[in-house]
Amino acid sequence: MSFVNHNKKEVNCKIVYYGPGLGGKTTNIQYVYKKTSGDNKGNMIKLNTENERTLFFDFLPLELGEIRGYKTRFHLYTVPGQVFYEASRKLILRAVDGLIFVADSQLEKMEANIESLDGLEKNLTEQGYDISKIPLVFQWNKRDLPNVTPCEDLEKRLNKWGSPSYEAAAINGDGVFETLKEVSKLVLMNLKGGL
Amino acid sequence: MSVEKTLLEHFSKIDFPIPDKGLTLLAISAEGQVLAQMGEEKKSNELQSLGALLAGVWQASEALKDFMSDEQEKDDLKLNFQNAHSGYLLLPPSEKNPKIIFAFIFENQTNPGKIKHIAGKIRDHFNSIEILKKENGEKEEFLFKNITEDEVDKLFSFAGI
Repeated sequence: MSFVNHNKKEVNCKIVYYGPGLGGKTTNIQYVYKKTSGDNKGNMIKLNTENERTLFFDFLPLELGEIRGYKTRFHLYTVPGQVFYEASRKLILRAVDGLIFVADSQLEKMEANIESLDGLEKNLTEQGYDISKIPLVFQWNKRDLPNVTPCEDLEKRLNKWGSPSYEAAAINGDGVFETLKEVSKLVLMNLKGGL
Repeated sequence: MSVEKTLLEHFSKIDFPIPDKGLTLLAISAEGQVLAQMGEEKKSNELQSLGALLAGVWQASEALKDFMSDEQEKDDLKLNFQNAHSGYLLLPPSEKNPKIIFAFIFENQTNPGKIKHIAGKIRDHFNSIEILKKENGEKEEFLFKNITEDEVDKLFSFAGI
């Protein structure tokens, strides 16, 4: 849930990167961190295992500048993608303002994408959210690899809501900021005045 | 009055001074936003990370509580991570303020028992008053109507897109 401080003229919004394990969620925010200057970013927190798999969450605070006199801060989180971290994913989704679903475009990962998306929908419903009403952007990641599912098929099988989608190869940075920019715009447009 | 000003006003009413060195008191929303701080000030970037981590740790602890069978014991839990002089102490949200976690960060304190004493006073004080209440005419309309592509482009101009 976004936090609007009218006295200080600040908005703080939470964006969560969701998707199957090893799909590119952490790679996305690592790229954002790399490309953001010191003034715009805070420390990147990575809570992960010895072999670099996300254990609890990654977190990156971004200060993007002002919009209509309000300082905008986006808090980027990733969830752990491995199947058995379901309890942690539920916690990270609390009070989410915007979602980026990072799908792994490789042919053999379609079932994992579907399972992850079903889990997202279920977790949101349990917390009283309607996924069709939350700013959501799909990222078809790993387009640089051979043997990837055509984007039309990914759209048909995953994007039930006609949400914006972007092709990406997060390892090279392709599509990373485009995706983030789109969800940020949707979040800001959806923002209501608060505290 | 803003939430921050309200909290700071209430902090100043606690009849036990919070030193401005070696102890930081944070009021954090359940979503990880730092609402107010008192004592030794943390820098803005540090605050955001602290808020996210402390809220995350708290949420995980709350989830672990579900595995305990004694209902009464569950409600009285605090969360400590400390040695004899330094550490973190988190207080659970009170009934009146279910969306606020109070966190103490202390370093090189010769009397950590004092921290627990202050924590107890904070807890008692905020058990009796409601901080996050709906104000009359709370703004429910969209904050930014008709955002343009140019406005969003400017936010991301540092990324060259």
